[in-house]
Amino acid sequence: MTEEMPEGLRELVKEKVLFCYQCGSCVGSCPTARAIPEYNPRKMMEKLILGGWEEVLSSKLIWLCTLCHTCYEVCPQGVGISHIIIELRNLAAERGMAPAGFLESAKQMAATGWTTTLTGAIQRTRAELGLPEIKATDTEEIKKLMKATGFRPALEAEKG
Amino acid sequence: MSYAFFPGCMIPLRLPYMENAARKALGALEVELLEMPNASCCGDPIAFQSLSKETWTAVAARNLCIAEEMGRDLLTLCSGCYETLKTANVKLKGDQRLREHVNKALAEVGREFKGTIEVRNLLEVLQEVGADKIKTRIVKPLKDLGVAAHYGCHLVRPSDVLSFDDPMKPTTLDQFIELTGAESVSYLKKMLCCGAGLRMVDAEKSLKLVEMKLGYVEAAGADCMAVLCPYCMVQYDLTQRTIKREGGANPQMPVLYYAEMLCLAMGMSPKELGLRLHRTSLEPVLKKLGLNA
Repeated sequence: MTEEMPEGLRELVKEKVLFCYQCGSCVGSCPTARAIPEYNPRKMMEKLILGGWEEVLSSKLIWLCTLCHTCYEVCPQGVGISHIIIELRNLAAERGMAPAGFLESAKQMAATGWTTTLTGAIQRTRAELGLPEIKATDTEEIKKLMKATGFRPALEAEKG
Repeated sequence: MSYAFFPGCMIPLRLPYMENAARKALGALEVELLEMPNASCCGDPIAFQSLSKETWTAVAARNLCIAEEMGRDLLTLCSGCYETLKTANVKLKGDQRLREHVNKALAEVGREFKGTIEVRNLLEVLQEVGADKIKTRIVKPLKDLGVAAHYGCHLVRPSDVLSFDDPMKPTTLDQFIELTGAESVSYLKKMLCCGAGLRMVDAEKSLKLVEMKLGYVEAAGADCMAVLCPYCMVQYDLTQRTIKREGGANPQMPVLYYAEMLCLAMGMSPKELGLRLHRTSLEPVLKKLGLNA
């Protein structure tokens, strides 16, 4: 191991993940596992328990979770797996390992205040339906919040 | 009744017919919807929560501040926004340290989270209106229509924070479907996720989940699906032709937003609702209801 486990993760492993008794309720109820058999949250928890956190963190697998939180609900030990995944993703993102699609959403948000693109066609459809026109939002506030919370992509964009 | 109205991004910018139906249904029930000046994306439960929980919470909190300034509870139409905004609201109300931390960031944009409002979803607002009142407005019951209720994940999970209905066996949407005169059809894997959260990373496998779900709905003999969340709507309504083109099954399952069902039952026309904007044909449903598209 090259790096010590980050404190937040160490706490989660100690307080939550160590209670996992490998029953597999998570993988049995997981939608991603139905579509992608290599995706196995039980095995991820096993690796975390055995100290292989860097392998889990750098694996593409953590980005396949749909965040449906079914494992969070069905786990008999209250491990809260989907929230562990979120923690792992946050740590991976800090290390520059987030997939492009996720970062695109962040860029879009900084530029427009929304994660969906506003088109002229939609404004016209809205008018036809009698819906109010969409007004631009104050993106300066969003950018400031991103900076104030140390959001990596925002800080990097600042550096140019 | 009056709410700070938060339609989200996906509904107003991509699926405006959902916003249209929600506004029309709530308008008919005398629920006033107040625009939220300068609201942004909720904070996004998939991309942003994954990249930085801290930024996610701060962006959500900013939106909550706008509703607080209006002195109104917030109604969001999107289940993703519901998870984001309710999680932020519950956590910031309950965790003093987190609140101080987030308020430091909010101070930079001249705002402060005070914890004075609640976050509601569409069904909660309809519950508050009350089934009795809604019943008096049903003039065209959706008789003989078999509907598969798809709750979507972020309406009910994580349940310790959202505390709306049962996280694995919810019943609220089924009850509201029956209220329109339609029948809520039981089917397998009712709580299976639509797969939207997988789309950014593996679109093909995300569609596999759509195909599976539509298969279960079809097998149960439902006439259509009812959804609440715009991400589920995109997954189910917009992808059926793609699934066929890519050599999968040939699903032809109409997908309705619950508010659209309610509007139809209240006697509104498919035309004024903009139902033509759906990508999977609703014709079988409209025909069964004796309506012209």
